[in-house]
Amino acid sequence: MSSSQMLKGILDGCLLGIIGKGETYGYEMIEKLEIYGFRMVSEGSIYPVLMRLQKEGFVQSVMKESPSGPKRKYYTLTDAGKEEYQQFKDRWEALSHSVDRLVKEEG
Amino acid sequence: MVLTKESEEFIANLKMYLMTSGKNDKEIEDIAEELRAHLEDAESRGKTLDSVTGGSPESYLKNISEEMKTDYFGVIKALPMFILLVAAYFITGSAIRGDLSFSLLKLIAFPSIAALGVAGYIFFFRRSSAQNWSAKRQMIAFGTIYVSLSAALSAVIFLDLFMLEPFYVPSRDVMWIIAAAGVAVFVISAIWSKTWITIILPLFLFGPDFIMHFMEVSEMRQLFISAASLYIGMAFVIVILFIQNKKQT
Repeated sequence: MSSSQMLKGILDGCLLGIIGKGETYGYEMIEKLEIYGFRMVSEGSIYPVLMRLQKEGFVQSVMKESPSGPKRKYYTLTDAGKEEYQQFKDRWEALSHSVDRLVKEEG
Repeated sequence: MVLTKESEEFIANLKMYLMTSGKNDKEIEDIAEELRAHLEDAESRGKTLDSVTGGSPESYLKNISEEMKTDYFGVIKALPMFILLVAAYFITGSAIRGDLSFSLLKLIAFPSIAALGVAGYIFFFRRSSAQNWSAKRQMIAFGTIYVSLSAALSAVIFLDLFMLEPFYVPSRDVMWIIAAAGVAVFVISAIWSKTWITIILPLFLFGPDFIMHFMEVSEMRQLFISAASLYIGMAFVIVILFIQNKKQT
């Protein structure tokens, strides 16, 4: 399984985390993800996820004219989104703990 | 900032693909604008379109499309106007020339051919935008659909002429009323869709028939002038579409 396939299941939560750190737009999210070490196979893959998050009411967006550059869509978390992120963190905590224990025992 | 040709094509294909998938216009504009902004940022940093789509525009377009809900209401809203428009194209010319007649064959065959034609074009536009077909391939596919439709229509008209008695032939006055209704449909749909095409194309298609009706022109010459004006009209519309397309990008 490639790492991009593994990332698929948790990209929703990761994007909620990135957006939770402050209003941001698509390209900036990619840059922020890269700082954390995420290497996206396709940068565009965040947009279908953003559409889904917006449909589910976890994020809201607004189009803004930027002083230098194109018109951009800025995202922020809604209250439901903050709650969802909290749940994601809990789930991840439990999951990564188990996976950690498993893979470290082998060595 | 100006995007590379590949990216411009990708955005145009995206719009076409989503449009022919029955998505909401406003949402299409939204995602197109968002991706354009992303591509501008990416290209100004030396990245390519592939880094955004992951190398497969087709599966990426499908991905996007799956996350957008299909605007069934928008499609249904447009349907009656569309059916009226197709019907107007079929009967306005005959009504002006005075050879309008209704037979069972025409009543069944024309709507079926029209539906098949529309389905064919939608299928073709979806495929060609998802797979970014070359101009040559587009022309071949487009031409094939066009020729098969024309052949089917001619076959129906021919069969109808020799084999079947029409069950209703309107009087000349009724034909003029039908023609006027057809013109009204063209005008309304032009206003409704905010394009000139449904005025310009019928003008070329049916205008000459209308003028010649009041002049002494031999039948052979009438036929010739009608055909010539049809092709000039088509060429005109294609040129307009081409210019509009250039202006947009």
